[in-house]
Amino acid sequence: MILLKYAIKRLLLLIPILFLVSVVAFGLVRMMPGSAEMAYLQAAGIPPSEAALQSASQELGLDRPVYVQYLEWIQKAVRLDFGTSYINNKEVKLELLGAFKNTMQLAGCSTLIILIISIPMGVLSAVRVDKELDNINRILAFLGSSMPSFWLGPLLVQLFCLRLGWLPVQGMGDWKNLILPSITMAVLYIATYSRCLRNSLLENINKRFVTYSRARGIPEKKIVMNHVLRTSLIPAVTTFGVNFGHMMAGTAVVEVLFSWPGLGRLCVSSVGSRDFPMIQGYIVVMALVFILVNLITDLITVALDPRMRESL
Amino acid sequence: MENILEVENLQIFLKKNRQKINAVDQVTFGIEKGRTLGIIGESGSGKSLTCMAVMGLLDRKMWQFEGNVSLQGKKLDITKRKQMSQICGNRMALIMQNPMSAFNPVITIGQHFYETLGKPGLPKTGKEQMKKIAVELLEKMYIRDPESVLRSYAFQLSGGMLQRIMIALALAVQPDLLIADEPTTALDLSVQNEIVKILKELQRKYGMSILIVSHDLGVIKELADEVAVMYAGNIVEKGSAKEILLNPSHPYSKGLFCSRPAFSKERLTVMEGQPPVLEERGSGCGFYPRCPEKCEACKAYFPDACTVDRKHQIKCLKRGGDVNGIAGS
Repeated sequence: MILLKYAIKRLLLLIPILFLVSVVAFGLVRMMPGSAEMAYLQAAGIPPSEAALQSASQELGLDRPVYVQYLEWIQKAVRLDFGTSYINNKEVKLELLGAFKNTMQLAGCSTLIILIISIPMGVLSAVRVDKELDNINRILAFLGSSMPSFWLGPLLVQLFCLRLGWLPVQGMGDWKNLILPSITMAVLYIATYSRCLRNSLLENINKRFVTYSRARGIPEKKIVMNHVLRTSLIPAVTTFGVNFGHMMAGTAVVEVLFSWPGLGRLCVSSVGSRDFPMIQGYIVVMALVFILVNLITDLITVALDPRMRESL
Repeated sequence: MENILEVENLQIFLKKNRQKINAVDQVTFGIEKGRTLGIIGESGSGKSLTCMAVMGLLDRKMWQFEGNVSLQGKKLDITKRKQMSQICGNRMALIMQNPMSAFNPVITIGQHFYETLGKPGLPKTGKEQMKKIAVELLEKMYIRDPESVLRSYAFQLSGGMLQRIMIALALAVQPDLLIADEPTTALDLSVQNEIVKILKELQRKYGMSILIVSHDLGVIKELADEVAVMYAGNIVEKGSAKEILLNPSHPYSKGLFCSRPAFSKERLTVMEGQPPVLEERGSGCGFYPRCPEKCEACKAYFPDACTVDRKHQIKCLKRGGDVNGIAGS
């Protein structure tokens, strides 16, 4: 009940935040160097004469004062109509939705990989602290976190696609296409989370409630699972929640690299072609994703940690 | 009478920078069935360490042990955690000091009970049955509304309540030996009395032996049949509670009982100085620098225990202790 109230309160807060975001998004886009009319004409294949530029400006509504443009845009945006793309005349909403689905697929797959690998890795490192396994993990984590995805990606492609021929290089098709981009994205986070989890496990393994569990004769495995891991996962979940938004936004490099038709690639190409409605829509969607993910993380944290319930 | 717990020449070393520092030295004691041994001493004298070692709770990476610990005549390997975990919380149970941090804050009190009652080695019971047992145990501890207590988390309950829950948890396995490591330290006076009363009552009802560690002389006086006084890792004096409390013989015990506050207008006598730091303990008597009755020989020699009177033993050169024929002057 308290949780529901809290969630509603947070959702209501969304309204002013999104309003602010829309203003900033609109403002930033207008401040971008380069002309939208020029890009528009180029895309349409019309030579950019003075007259053509002027008519383009009129057509796109860019000749009117900025606040009028904003009001017009926000009025539609409230009804979830983000206008049409300058470049291909497609509806921004549908384009974003399609790309969002693809990005979610990628992010979801990578999250799965992160969880499957980093939790056991963190636990094993903590159990065998400063032994071989922990040292190997330490080196792997160091490598993983210092390898940028724009380098790791091509390396993986080189090995698995060109040398071994196991996986397709680019594009979107069946599950095989999903593997390499998700791994490329996951590596950095696996490195971070497995170390983060290890440290928080080590911190908790010396807590007095662990000693007390041992004194009660609870089997060691159960102590690790029910007491140590459970308490240690709380900070890991919080960091993960904060980072999930970053992950969604940070897919751009990987998506461009693997020609994955997701949000990141859409944003990069829209910026290149000064596709104002698309960029504005992207920023609003990303803000929404960030806020919702944070809210979900908070709710999960509260569910995991009863102490947080008191502070709601 | 047969001893439930027998500790012989227990030595505990702290491993530090490849050195072995002697933290507990040649500790020997036994507890008879249904009796209570109280260990008193200042903080850092090795009381809690001894308890933890007996329960097998000290990390082998940090500590090293010598000597024998046996439970009901059977030798325990206190370095083997697996073996110890079958005995801990089964034939031996522990009550810790500072109950506020002894419970896991993210699981309910009930889950603590179910996990203890459902551990391997105990007869299998269903969840409903376990809940019934837990409620009964809590009722025995005079806890009101046990059902809602089972649903609560540790941070929602008071220290006294948690200490009683801890006793209930210990009782859940019907142990032969209850080790209480400063069970009243973090609690206020009225709650302290309550805990002491409960422990006394349980001992009478179930006939278990209790090893109680405390620096609270009042608690020891109430509960203990025998008393051991520890100083700097050694048991310097032990004997029946009556004898030690009324007629302490070792200079340290005397000093300890004098520095106990009483409701009188007289000035409190305080022992001079501090107990020696672990690393600075020499071969002589650990109490030497503070002892009012010291002699030159005490600095170099620490005597073995000598018997004053039947069970009353003491380690002091000035009280008849003898090392390699060098007698006190």
